[in-house]
Amino acid sequence: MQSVLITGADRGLGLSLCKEYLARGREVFAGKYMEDYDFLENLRHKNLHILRLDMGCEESIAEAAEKITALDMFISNAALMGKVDCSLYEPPMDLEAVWRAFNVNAVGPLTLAQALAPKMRGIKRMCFVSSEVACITLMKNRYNDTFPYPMSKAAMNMAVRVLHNDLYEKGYTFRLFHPGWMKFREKDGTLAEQGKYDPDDIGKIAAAYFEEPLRDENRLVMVDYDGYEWPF
Amino acid sequence: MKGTVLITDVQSDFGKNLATVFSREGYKVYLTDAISPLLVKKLDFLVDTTDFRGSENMEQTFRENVIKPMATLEKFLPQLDAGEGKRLFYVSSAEASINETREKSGFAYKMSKAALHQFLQMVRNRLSPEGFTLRVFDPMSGEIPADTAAESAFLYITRRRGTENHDPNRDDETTLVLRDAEGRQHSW
Repeated sequence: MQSVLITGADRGLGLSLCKEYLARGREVFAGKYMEDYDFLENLRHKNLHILRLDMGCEESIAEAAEKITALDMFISNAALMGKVDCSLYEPPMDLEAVWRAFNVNAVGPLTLAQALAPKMRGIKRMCFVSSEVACITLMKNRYNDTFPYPMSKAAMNMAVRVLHNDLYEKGYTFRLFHPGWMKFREKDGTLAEQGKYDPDDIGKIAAAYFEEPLRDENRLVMVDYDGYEWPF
Repeated sequence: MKGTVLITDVQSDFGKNLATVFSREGYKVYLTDAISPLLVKKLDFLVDTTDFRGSENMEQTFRENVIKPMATLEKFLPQLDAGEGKRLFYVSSAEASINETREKSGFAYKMSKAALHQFLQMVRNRLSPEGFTLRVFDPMSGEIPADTAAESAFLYITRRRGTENHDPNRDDETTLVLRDAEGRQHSW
């Protein structure tokens, strides 16, 4: 049975991907971070293994990786976002928020990739959920008054580039995905009004894109939910 | 006096040489370690030569290459805003271009610089309407002598890039680019 690990599986896109891959008959390792969400437990599936996983903590990533013997694919989906006081408009900037976002959103995915690489088999696929705000080129003239999240996602794209430079010739394959602005799922299961897309709909698109082969595996590109490519 | 310039990190050969060139050319040079924002009213150029390399320690590299420059900019922004030059200079490297790098290691340095690039793009968005311009420069350390790189950087900082006729189609001053000491422009 093909196996996949998904980080940030507590809710949102991560949870949708778990459901999608379980439906596709995969063995799913789900990274759980949030104590107060129990969507994962409620899936109650024999092929689902829930792992404690804090992407901001090297030891937590190493512990989770130790529990896995073989893996076909992982999806780095967890991210730290939300409102932080880090804007030149309203000094002082919260510079620790910049480090925290970088640590969880860029260092975490790299640490995970390095921990899991020796255990990978088959398609050896490393998938990373990124964002349009990772694009340095297209950030021009985009209003954005909070620095940490776009900075951390640009750094993550760089980490994936260097991983690709090193590992593609060793048989690993890569996906960088921009999921679009998804609606937040409340604890009672309803979708928030803010946002454009239902994470379940994006999950179906993403699950297929992550798993299916491409004609140009040698090329690292960031692709969005509509299949369009984004520059770096 | 031609203007005032604040230079950080003159421990590096490139920073040291750049400070020397600015003094020689008649600029008043302040060093960040030796100056409080209270003691200077106006600054024309911020020259941040921070370029911490060679460590795979993520936190240390990130704090040096990203957090420190952010703090310096925030600290001296009122003085830069009061100055005439309104130009911000940062050191990076073509190997820290996501589009271009072919390297297989050196994650900490490249990731920190990618984060810095995205920060500077957002700084550009924020400060460009107020007349600020930015320079991101690769001194080609280890490839060309530091004094040659410093002469090149001095001209890049003190000259206007693009044309003077305020035709937006012929002026790229408002675009953030990465250029190296030999004039190559690299993509992000």
